[in-house]
Amino acid sequence: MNRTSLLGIGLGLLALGGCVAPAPDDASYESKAAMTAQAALSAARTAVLSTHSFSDGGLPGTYLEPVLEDAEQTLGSVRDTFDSVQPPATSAADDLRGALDPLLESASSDVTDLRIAARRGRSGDLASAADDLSGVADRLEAFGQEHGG
Amino acid sequence: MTDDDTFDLRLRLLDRQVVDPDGAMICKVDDVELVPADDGGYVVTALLAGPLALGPRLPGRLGRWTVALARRWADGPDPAPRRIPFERVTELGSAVVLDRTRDQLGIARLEDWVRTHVIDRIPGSRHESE
Amino acid sequence: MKRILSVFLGVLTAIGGFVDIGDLVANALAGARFGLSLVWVTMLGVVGICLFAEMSGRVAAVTRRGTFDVIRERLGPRAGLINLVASVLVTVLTFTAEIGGVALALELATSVNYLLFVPVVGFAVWLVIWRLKFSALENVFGLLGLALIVFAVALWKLGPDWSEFLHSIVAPRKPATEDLSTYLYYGVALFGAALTPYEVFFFSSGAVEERWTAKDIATSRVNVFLGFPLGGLLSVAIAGCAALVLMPQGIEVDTLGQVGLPVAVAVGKLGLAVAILGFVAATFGAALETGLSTGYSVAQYFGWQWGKFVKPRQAARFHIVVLLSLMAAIAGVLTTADPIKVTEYSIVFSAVALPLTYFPILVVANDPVYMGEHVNGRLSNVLGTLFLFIIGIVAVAAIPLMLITAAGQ
Repeated sequence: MNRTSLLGIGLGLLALGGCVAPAPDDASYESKAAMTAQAALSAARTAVLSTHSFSDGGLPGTYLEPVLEDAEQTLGSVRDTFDSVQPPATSAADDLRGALDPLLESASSDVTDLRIAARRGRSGDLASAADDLSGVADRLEAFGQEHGG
Repeated sequence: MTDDDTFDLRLRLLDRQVVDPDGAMICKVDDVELVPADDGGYVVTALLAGPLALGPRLPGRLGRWTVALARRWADGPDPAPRRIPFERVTELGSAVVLDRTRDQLGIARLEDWVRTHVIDRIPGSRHESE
Repeated sequence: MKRILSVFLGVLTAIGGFVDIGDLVANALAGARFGLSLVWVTMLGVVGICLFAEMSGRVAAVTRRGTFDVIRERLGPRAGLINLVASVLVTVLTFTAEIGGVALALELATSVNYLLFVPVVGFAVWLVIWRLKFSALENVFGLLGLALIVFAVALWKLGPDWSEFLHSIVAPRKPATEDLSTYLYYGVALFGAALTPYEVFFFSSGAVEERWTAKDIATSRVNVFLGFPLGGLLSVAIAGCAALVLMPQGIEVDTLGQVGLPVAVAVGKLGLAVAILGFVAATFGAALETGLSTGYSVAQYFGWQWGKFVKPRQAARFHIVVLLSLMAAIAGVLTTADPIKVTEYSIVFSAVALPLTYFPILVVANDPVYMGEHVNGRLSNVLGTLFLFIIGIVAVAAIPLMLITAAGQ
């Protein structure tokens, strides 16, 4: 391989490197966790905001569905990415994972509930799923602020 | 600055747009054909166009590949670039004006090929846009 | 009276045609993450595009030739070819993003998966380019693009504290939670979104399509200096809406659906429908422009007959290039790469390619042999050189910033 293609590959790897490399120490694991929480928060709040807007008659079901599907997909991939990161072998890292994982899981399942309720047109289920998700979002926000600064 | 006697080929002729009497675009002056004159100088005898003319002016490998590809595509064993005799030129202004149209000159083989094999087969190719 | 109407139409078309998928995404992204602290970059970009669109329109009106035609002539075939290759690559990437944008907007309107729309959109783009007259093409999609004014309406309805709003724009402060490098990266993205290369090729080739002469320079100036800044205000409105609705919620923009949310919140269903119409018009119009621009660039470099002002069979190679780039763009979207990510890359790479586009225009606009009495005045030159300097810095900083911030994380 000539130098140019090696350089290209090197640059490409560098660009991708942000997400999938293992985190070697507590500080970088914490910041990865904070970034994950932020991304999950964004998806969760998008789902909540759109659902409330739908319930208020501000947006139609045809808009809500793709938005919820995207939010669901984002949460799924954010979870997968975070899980793929090897945490350092410290109790602090384990605590972080212990705090964040359940939040990510709740958020994922709440958004799925939202999507299903939206499809079925069940406004009661929609409202309660949105409330649950809103609570999870607040906790994600708190987590992000605590660990991301 | 140039004298009235000198004509800077690079500035005034090379890479100029070549058009027909109605202003329709024909090609670019990709190169010129120079023939030694009696007085020791050179005379421009023709405009050259096409990949075989432009290829040699492109740098390095790209130039060589262009020429090689063009050779493959051309018919005949010793292909030459498209040639427009200099007598066809009527005006040398911001564009080079000829006295023939592109189709009369018959130099745009790629255009003809694309037109015959692709464009003409699509409905609406003969109509003005509406 | 007819003259005034046609100028009015020109301005409206310029406003509506200003925003494309890059502007939609970049401004919403920046607004959601950085509030109003990057609006100054959008405004700087608008000044830049006004400057260079005016110059390239003037060059086209005076020389009656397209940009790449003159670039090759003035800079030689080698420099011209480097320019051509870079511009075509970036423009095809942008084309891909625009087609993705149309498909995403249609998904939001119907909840049918965006990929299913891609072949239809592609065919529609080709059909319009093949059959619709140039002026109709520009006017229809330009006017429909005015639907994006709904963002300004939404902003007004959201009722921020206006003095604070304006203060955040003119005295920008980067949010404490964000790194400087991320701030600068999104600045580069916004700049690239405002100053996309294809705009200039399209504008100048359009001038030749519409048979402009030196007499039309004044009209062109009105279109540019009135239309583009007002179009830029739409970009600012999109950023402002994101800043007021998305930012407080911690929502970061990574889908087109989020871009429209503030309108749903502030104006409701009707407003959202108008916004979707605006999305479709803006991205479809931009798809037409980028498709045509690849044809214009290649044909003008090689001296082929180009343009919609002749029958398609008289400009066969031009139409083939457009068709091939359309196929590449469709293929690009069908790889299922996230269209929003593709958009981000397209605007960052546009920023990198900017000097290649703008430097030759400045050179030609300054050349009295081509321009005669319409050559650049002192002001154009001072501003043009200043902008070239800024463009150079942005182009050099773009890739390093992208790598450092891992494309904006």
